[in-house]
Amino acid sequence: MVANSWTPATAGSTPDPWQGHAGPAQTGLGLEEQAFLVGGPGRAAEFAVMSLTEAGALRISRDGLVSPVQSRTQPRTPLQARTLASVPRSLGDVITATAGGPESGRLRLHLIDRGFVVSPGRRRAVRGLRRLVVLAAVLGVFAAIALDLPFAVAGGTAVAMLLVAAVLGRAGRPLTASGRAEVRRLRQAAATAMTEPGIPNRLTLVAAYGLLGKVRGQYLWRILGIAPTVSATLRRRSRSQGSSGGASCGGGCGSCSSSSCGGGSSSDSGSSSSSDSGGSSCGGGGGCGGGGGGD
Amino acid sequence: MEKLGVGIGWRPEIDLTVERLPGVDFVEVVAENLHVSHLPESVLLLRDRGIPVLPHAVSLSLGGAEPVDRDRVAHLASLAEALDAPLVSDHVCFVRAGGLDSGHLMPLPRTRDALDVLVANVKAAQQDLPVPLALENVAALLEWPDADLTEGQFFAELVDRTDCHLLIDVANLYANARNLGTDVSRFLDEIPLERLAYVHVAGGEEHQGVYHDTHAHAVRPEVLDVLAQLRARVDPPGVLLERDDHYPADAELAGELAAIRAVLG
Ligand SMILES: [Fe+2]
Repeated sequence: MVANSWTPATAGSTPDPWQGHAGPAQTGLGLEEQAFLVGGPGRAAEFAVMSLTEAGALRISRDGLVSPVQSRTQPRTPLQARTLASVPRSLGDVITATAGGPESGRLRLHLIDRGFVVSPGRRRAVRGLRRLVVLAAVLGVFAAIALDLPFAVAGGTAVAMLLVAAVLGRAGRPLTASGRAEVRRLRQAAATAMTEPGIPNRLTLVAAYGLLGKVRGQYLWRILGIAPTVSATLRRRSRSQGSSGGASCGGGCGSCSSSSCGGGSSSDSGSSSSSDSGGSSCGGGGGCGGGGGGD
Repeated sequence: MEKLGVGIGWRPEIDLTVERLPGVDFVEVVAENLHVSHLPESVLLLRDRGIPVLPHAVSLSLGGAEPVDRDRVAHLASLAEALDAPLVSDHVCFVRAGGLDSGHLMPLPRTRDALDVLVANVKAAQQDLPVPLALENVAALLEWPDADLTEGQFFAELVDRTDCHLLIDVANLYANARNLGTDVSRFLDEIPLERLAYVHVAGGEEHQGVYHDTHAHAVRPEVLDVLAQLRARVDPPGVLLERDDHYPADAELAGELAAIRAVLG
């Protein structure tokens, strides 16, 4: 399980800058990367902020002001570095700033390079092809009617083409098969984390559900012992998502297009994890953080 | 004077830290940063726990030539009442002159004339305050020429004429000794230590031969030595750690409080 093998890396000891919260050796993905796969830049940003907080590099005040702790704590990932450069700010604003920084875009590219996220170009191509196939199926049915071909031929062709379209639809999802496997792995780890208290497990929950996600009917921020006044900075921004607050976050998340940051199969959605839609602080309506729910 | 114990300056960034640090007997809040109508939850919580919360003002400009701003005194008074504070404090300095705000705690010329002005202002402020007023020595980077009195004599006369209490900042004493060559033990011998309300301890940094009282660095052993000199003369009712920036980890702040306690014995 990711949760149990979480081992903090000392700064500079890993060649891959994103490997700060390394998962098991066989997958190689850290929790921050997994958070991105599940919930997009907003979730990864939440993870970066909370991992720094749990490590004692940040402190959060009663009304949600996040400030640096004077120490030699070095950021372990570029996203954490962005977080440290963004404080002091309210928790909600730090997460937005982290999600909106160039590092989250680079994290996304890194995940594309490593074959966990489908590149936008490929997704566009697949979606275009799918539209063509659907159009061809419809035209084929009309043509069959016009040419008075047997129904079985027309219907069979149409059904075959729609099957092709369905397959293409799956291929057009934002996560690759290994990306979806990582998401499943994180969710399993989170399920275990609920029964084993400890810092790595708390962070696993953040990665899997987001602070505003619900776990067993309770908001995660509440489970983690975050004061309501602190979590209010998350909500406030979520509400204003449509106007100003969403800009930086929405932009980042837009690239991880709405319905499917989670990328898991729809069968996942019955689990409690799906209730975190709109969950991540940057989620608001679920456009961004809501990855978990979209799948 | 009421026994206060060992305390720390409450600041919004470290409110939860202050709440959970072991051995915090009292706290101090910067009066100008609070509004009586919406006091921070953390401050109210500490007050309700029975921890004395002392408002500390920085803007009364008691040594200034102009009369004291009654609105500022009224604010301090209402804060003292809202917080159930046993006393309030400000500095022996001026921050405004001729309508300009220096933004710094400027030292006073230690002349009879300056003392008369200070005494008049302190008395005016005391009239509008519901609790005793303690006055603090500041750190200075310069001394006005033609002083009639030493700093100790100046404070002794001030206490004599206004019946105010003393808030002695040992970091400021160290800074003045280091930067201006003032004599710490002479100061401690000259002031009426029986009027001591509490003591400030703070961290600083030496930069190009000048000690800066930053409140953003660790407390230096030399400052604790000054505290020890004071302790050799009197058991201070309270000692408070001031930290205003670059807040370290909880454990480090706890360590500084423990170091203060160790000096007090
Ligand atoms: Fe002071």
